This record gives sequence, C-alpha cells and structure tokens, in this order.
Amino acid sequence: MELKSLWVRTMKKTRKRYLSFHLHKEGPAIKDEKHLSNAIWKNLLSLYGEVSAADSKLFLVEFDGDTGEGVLQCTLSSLEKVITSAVLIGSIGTTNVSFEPKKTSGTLKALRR
Amino acid sequence: MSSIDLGVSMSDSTSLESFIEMASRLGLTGLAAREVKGPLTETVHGISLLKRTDLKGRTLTSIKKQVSKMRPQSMILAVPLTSVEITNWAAGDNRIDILTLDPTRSNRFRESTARLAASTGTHLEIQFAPLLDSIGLTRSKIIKTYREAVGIAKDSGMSVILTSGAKHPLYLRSAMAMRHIGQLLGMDSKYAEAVVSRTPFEILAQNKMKISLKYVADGIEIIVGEDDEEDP
Repeated sequence: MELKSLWVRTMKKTRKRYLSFHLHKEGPAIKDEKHLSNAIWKNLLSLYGEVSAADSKLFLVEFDGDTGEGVLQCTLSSLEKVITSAVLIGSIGTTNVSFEPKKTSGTLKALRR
Repeated sequence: MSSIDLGVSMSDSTSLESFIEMASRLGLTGLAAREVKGPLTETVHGISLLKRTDLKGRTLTSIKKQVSKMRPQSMILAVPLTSVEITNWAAGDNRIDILTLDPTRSNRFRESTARLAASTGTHLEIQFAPLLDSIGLTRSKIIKTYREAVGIAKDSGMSVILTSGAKHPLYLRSAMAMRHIGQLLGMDSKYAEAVVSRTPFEILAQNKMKISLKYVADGIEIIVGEDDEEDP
C-alpha cells in the first residue's frame, strides 16, 4: 500500500505540458510526422545531452503536414529545452522550416480552447 | 508579445516581399535591413521597414568617414566587432547603435568595451542565424562565444539585442522563439523577454527622436512655440 502511494506521488511529479505550434515551410511538404519528431529529438540530444532528451518524454501528439499545425507533448521540466531545440531547426531534409511555438497548456482541452 | 528584427540580411531587395510576408505571419512588427530602399522608416502591410547600415572598413579613419555621412541616412547604424581600436571607438561613440558580434572571428569581446558601450548606450547584437546553420561542435563553439559575450555585457550593464541575421525568410523567428534562443544564450526569462520585446522598440524610439530636426544632443532639443513660428 505504501509502495503504491509512493508510486502515485512520484508519477504526479512528472507533469506534462502540451505545446501547439506552426511549422512554416518552403519546399516539399513534410508528410511523415516522424521526420519532424526526429529533427526535434536530434536537436534536443545535441544541445542538452542524452539524459535531458530521455527525461523530456517528447511525443508528437498530432501534426498536419499540409497546414503545418501541430501539438507536441513533453514534461513540464523540459518544456523550455524542447521549445529551444525545435526553434533551432533550420531544415528538415531538403525542406527549409521555421518552427513557431504558439501556446502551452497542461491539458489538450485547454490548448484547443 | 511582439518584436522588431533589427538585423536581417536579405540577398537582394526583391526578396523584401517574402520577408515582409513571413514577418507578418510570425507576428513581428518591423524589420531592419540594408536592402531597404527609400525613406528611413516605411510601413508596408503593417510591417515597419527600417534602413540599416553596417559600417565596414579596414581602418578606423575609413569608418569614421562613413559615420557622419551614413548617420542621417540610416535608422540603425551598426559596426562589426573587429579590431580593438575600431571596436572601442564605436563603443564610445553615441552615433553608433549596435556592435555586431561575429562568432566566426577570433576578436574577443572585452569587459572594457562593454563598460564603454554601456556608458554611451551602444547595444551588443547577437545574430542567431549561425545557430540554425550549424550543429555539433561548431554550434557548441558559437554558443560558447555568445554566452560569454552576453555574460560580459550583462555584468557591465551593456544592453543586448537579439536579431536573426536571416538571409532567408524562413530564418526569421517569432518573438516567443527568440526569447527561448535568448535563454539558451544565458539570459534569464525576464531579461530575454526585455531583449526581444522592449529593447528594439526603445532603440527605434530613441533614433526617431535623434533623427528629428529638433534634436541637438541628449537632453537638448530645439523647442519652437506657436508664437515663434508665426513671426517672420
């Protein structure tokens, strides 16, 4: 019982954050969202190291390759690092891009409000 | 949060339209570039276009010659950090708005220069385009140079501005994105926000006043009353 409550308390400490963004692009559309996700991961790894990248729990919730609109999820403690890493992406493959962070929120519902 | 990008490097004036469009999409309110033709300030599609001049020359004499000519013709006047002689002169001259740090050059940004610049209100310009172009060790070295320079400027009371140095419209970043880049370069959140969304507007307001015909020197203006104007 004690172990369970300890586990619950530990889990609550890793708070999630959602970030809505717009990916401006020039060139071929980024159809596969994995390319964007990989680009952010690579930058995060390069800038802040393996431990920070792992702790970020970065996950691309949704991304529309045509409009460039998307939402990503990460931990609250790594939000600033994730945004910085994404903002410093200059290109994905042959497509020049500009990552524009829009809004952050604790829930998807509030993000879309 | 809005901002003005005071350092854009367009390849030619024909790409101005695409820069304006991108700036508008990102919520920027102004751009300063060498390629801006016409008046010192002009508003196109809600974006203020400011004429910027980067003074370049091998010797101090050649730079000094350009200043008096270019100051009335430019809203933003910048000098790149080169030799100690040129840098210290530019830092001490209040006609110069910006000292531009080039991370690829070996010229060190000194504390004495920063203190001098702080006394005259000259700003240190950090361009983030090199960070978008590089990765790994190269980027790490650029970040090191920038972080050291920002630290020296902050400690000496010198004001810092963050610009894109963008040669392509997609190298522009929104104010929120620039704030995060500022934090990467060693600024705390509030300082980075001021650097992005307050300092450029202050420079612009100050220069508009300086360029006006009524300005004589800091704190001295020609004030003409209505009665005086009517007199022959």
